Amino acid sequence: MRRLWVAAGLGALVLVGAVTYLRSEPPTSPPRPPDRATATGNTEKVLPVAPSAELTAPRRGFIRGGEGVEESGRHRAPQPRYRPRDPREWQGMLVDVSYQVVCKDFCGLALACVAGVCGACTSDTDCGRHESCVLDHCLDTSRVSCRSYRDCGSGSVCMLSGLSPDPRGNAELRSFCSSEGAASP
Amino acid sequence: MKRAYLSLTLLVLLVLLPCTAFAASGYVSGTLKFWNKQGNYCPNTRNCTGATYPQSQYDNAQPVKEVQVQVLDNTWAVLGEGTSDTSGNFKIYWYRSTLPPSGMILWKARQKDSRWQIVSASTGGIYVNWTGTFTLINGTTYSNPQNVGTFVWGSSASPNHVANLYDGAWRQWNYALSGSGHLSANMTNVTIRAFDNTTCPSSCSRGWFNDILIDSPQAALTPQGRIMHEMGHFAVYVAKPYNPAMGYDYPNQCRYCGTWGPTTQEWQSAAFEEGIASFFATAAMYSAANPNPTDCLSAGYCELWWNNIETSTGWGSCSAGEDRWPLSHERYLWDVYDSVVDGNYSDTISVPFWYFISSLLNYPTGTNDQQHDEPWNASYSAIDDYDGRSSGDFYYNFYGRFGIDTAYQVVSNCPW
Repeated sequence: MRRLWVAAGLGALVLVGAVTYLRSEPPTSPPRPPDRATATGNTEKVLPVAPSAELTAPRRGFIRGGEGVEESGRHRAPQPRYRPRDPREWQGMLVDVSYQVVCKDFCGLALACVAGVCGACTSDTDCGRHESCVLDHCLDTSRVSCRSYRDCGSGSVCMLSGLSPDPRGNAELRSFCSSEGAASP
Repeated sequence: MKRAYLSLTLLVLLVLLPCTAFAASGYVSGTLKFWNKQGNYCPNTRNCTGATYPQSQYDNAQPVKEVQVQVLDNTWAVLGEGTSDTSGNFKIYWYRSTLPPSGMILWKARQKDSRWQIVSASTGGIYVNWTGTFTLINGTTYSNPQNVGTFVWGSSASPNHVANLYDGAWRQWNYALSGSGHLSANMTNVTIRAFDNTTCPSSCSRGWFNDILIDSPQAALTPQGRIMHEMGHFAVYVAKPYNPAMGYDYPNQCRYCGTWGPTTQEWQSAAFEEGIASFFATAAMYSAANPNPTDCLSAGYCELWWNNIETSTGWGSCSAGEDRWPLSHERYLWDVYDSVVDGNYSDTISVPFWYFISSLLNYPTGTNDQQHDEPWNASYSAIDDYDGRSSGDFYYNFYGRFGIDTAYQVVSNCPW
């Protein structure tokens, strides 16, 4: 009888394992080719499902705890809600906190992964190795010229150069004191 | 008893195992484009030296540039975020505690650094565009991402107006306004409300509310006279906040009553204000080296014969009322900016864009002559000089800031 139970248990394990395998793809599976008409030349794809921008926005539930409004079957995104920053500091690149992105240890937009959620950093320890927290964002420490308006002269603020298109978003991100004249390159 | 434990263990395993999925992550790359139907391009028939928007970019798919992009799962939860580059390319890391059944790409009508965003005029919600769903592949890497190809929003027959509007705003910021350190530090989180045709006569800029109103989807296809011009107004306000007088309709000369045209006669405060906003738009469309920049309100290209900004009437040849044309003020400012030498007068001055912002910034505070609120009386209870804050005042303040005399430019173009 015991053998029968063990066999049944093993069978169940195999079955569950097979189902789990079929429901997922192994991490080592190679990327699939893009779904497009041709590999070269006119590869642009006009998506019939891409909605008109005037009506667009995520469905309710897209923004957790957000303020999504649904009108007449149309879906619109909530109004952005920014994390406040000391009004004496530069007010650019405020972090939108109207939604959340779950993370394990990596975030885009030069944000910090804190308690499993991407968001503004508040200290260097929120950022990765060789990164520093400046104005809610994680910068490569070598690119930090200032951290606050206190580091700049009168009438000047410490500001950020802007996100770069790499996945982390900070490959070219740097801080510097603002000037009246030509914009800093 | 052993059987009971064994049974219980198996039962627990059977219940728990299907729920125990592995965390999944990877990289997705692709390209975002929109069908560009904006007018005001530089036509092939013209000398387009230094034009930032040549006809080759018109009526075809163009990149959605420097926009915020998200990877979503099929429940619309955000799995990762990034930005597109100036070619519309993106590469984003995504993560989920379990393998998602499918994913999609979404982009917000928000500049990557949140310089501005386009929202619904009625609800305030930001506009977004998304793709169809695709299978997200777990385990893809930075060097070997899952490429989901190129997506295009809109078509020639049915352009995506928000995408076109976004591109016009991007051009204004990228090719002109971003050149000013003062604007880079102070022009942030601007809300562009689309579409609202009731608050303003057409479109308008409200620096004091940090927003811009665009009246109609069609306005998205006339960038130079709408979003770029309004961003020009916005920049003037951000340079040094002031109290607009907006003296439209010079007495007995009202042609477009309550509003204006390039060659309508306005009070100087309105003529200069519209002229400098248009100049900022033109400076985004053409570099200083272009010999025939144009400016108009059209979904096609601007005709040279009546929209030429480089033409100047010349010293002593101004027609009656030409000093009140917004076009005259724009031409003056363009001649201070451009590096093309006019043939009919000594035109050797060419300064970077930021000089104009710094000049406005350095207007003395107050309501006296040449001060930033000159049209107003001392108590700000009424406007007592609709001709205040004119090109003449700019001339003095520009000279005061940089020591450069633009007398030839201002006199030859007739705004003063």
